[in-house]
Amino acid sequence: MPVVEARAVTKVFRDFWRRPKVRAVDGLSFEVRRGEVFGLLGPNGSGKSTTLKMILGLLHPTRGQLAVLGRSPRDVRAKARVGYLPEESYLYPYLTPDETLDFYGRLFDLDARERKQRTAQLLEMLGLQHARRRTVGEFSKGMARRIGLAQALINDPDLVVLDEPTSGLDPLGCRQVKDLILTLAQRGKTVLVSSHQLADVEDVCDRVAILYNGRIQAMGSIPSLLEDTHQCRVTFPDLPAEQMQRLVAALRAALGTEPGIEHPRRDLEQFFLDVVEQARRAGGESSGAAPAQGVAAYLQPEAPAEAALQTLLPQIAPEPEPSSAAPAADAAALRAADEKLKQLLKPDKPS
Amino acid sequence: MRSVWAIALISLRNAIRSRVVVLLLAILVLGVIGIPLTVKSDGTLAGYVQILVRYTLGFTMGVLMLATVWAGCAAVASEIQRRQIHLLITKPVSAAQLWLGKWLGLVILNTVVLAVCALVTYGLLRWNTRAEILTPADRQLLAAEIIVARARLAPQPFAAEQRAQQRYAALQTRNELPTNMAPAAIFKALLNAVQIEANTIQPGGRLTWRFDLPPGVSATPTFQLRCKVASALLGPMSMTGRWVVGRERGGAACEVVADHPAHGQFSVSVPGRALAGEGAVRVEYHNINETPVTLLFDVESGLRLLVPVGGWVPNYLRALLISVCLLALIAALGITAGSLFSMPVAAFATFQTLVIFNTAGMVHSLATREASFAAALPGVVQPPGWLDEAMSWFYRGLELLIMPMQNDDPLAMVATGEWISWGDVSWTFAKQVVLASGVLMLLAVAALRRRELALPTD
Repeated sequence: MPVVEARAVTKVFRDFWRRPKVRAVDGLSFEVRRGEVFGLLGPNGSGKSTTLKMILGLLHPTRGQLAVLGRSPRDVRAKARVGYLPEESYLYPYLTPDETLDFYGRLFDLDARERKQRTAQLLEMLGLQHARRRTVGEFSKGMARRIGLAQALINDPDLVVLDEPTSGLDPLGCRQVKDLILTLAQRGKTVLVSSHQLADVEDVCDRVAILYNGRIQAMGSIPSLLEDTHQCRVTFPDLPAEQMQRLVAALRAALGTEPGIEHPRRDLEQFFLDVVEQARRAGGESSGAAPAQGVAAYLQPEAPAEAALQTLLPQIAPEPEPSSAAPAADAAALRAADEKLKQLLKPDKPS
Repeated sequence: MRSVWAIALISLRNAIRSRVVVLLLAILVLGVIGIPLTVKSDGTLAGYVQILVRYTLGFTMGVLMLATVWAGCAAVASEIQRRQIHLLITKPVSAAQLWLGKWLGLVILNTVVLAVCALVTYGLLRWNTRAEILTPADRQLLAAEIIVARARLAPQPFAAEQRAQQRYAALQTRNELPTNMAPAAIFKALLNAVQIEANTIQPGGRLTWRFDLPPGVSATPTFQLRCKVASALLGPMSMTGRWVVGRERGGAACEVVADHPAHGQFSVSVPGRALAGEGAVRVEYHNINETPVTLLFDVESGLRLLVPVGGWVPNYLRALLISVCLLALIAALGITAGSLFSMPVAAFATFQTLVIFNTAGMVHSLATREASFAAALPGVVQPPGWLDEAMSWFYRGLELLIMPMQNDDPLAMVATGEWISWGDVSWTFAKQVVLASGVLMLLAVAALRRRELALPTD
């Protein structure tokens, strides 16, 4: 059973006199499978937020069917298994992080001990322990975002809906959120992400849907959408000029065309993270969010302290089902490309 | 229930942080301290107690009602406006739990503030009526007539309708019924005439009432008769009457001769020994005024017997509980309005509803009068009959809605020492908290379920 299932969903916003004004979503059909990280991409006004809000029960589809965890999005039993991080901070500004998480924990009917444990773990995970006595209203956007993320995870949800999760976060925070998304996916959780940060989506999403004008323009796994199967890239250590010339000559002879050769560049995000890590080791202090402290125990794939929870996990969040036909096809295509590459790089037999 | 309490506490904090509510509460503090110091009573001990209890707590109630309307409307409408509701409604919280949490928060706030004000008022009352500063006579008056809880008993009804029917039948037999009047109008006129005759005393005449005493009447040095009268003479005038009060079986009747105003309301104190014996209490009024004057006891509230049936403090507590019920109803009204409309509209709609509730008397008269609505406007072109009929139905419907919610002012009752029973509290709780607030909750739940809370216009 898909975690989210949309069938021909249409949303038309009407004016005061009930006249149709804007068709924000038009006949949208897609499925989000268990354990999948699914990305919704699109320019402003493409219908991403409207789709998310319908999935969360905040808006009602004008036409079509929408099911979340097999139920209506407005069913409280479905909501009990969903975590939501909105695009903006809609938290109560006068509450401290402790009070905020305690409040949202109560809404999920968690007992006091559980709320306390999870609050402590989440604040540690998000580097906000030192700010737990300050009110959320005093927080920077990035810190408020982290608290927003914490409240989305307080119930250990099966489906996590993240609207622009890395918006307002520094690269450290972005990396942490991405790691967290991957950790959640490892635990069989389903993550639905809407973002403008294409690089972030590329890093974490298994599949994406690109929306424009309320319709899906493209949908599929990242490799299937981005891979150029007509070209390939080979990476190897820098070679002396003579060996390089021989290699290029061999490639030229095999391909019958001039191959492109360039030095690979490091990812700017990784470079930034390395620099900050060095500075931190040198003893620099920051008044903002502290460095990440791993992942909250109850959110980790194997949490020793959560033995009882682990016993229940197979029941409440079974392992992801074997990959379906589409990813299998993608893997086969990748293997074929690998084989082709190996063949190309074989040294020429002596004549 | 955990989530309901969580929402209740948050809405409590939200209300306390609202600048409008804080301003109103500041005014409340000034009022509670200032009113007893600045408002002068009529110089009597009873007047002072009335000022202190009725005006101070009446002012408290007024301010709390305003604050409750504002905070109630804002409880949902502002959360929608600030989109904080996105994080609430995406949690496993039903619309009913959301409404209940918000309502509970406001009820707690109102109860705490009213309790504090009531405690301060009671403290001031005890301090300013402490034994050391009162004369022995005032002390006795305070204990016997002011700091008391007295049941206000109506006399046994007399068969007015039966008498009116007999007269109607007699006129019909003699074929003397007016031909230009509807039978219902004739009967109503006869009923009025019977009631007026039964409450009128000619010079030198006598009028008798019988009262059934409820259980739990405590022994008392004195008890009161409260009357509302009108006389044939105009202007301020004093009259003399003789009251004979006693049980029907056993005991001895007491006689009291007292002067009283010829118009309006007055009280007569009767020795408590008049209640000794068994059976109904028989009260006679003899019109012995030197100048011959015909006296009419008010048909609706002509004579009442006030007898002590309990302590003042429990009565005060019951009055406060009834007041809390009213505040709970207003909170329900505000929250429901906030669930239906955005902020300024919600507050406006709630205030309008309260204004309509406070004009219940006018609505009642519009609903019951037989003359056409439009005919009351001389010189105006008559609207079609169906419009007249529709207006009549509208007022009757409105009356049906608001009249059951009306209560006697519990603070006025406790200030004048009038007994409020637990039955009154239970009935008020049932109709204002369970029934009316319940209906409002269902309305809000239906609206919240239907309403889309993330529209671009919100």
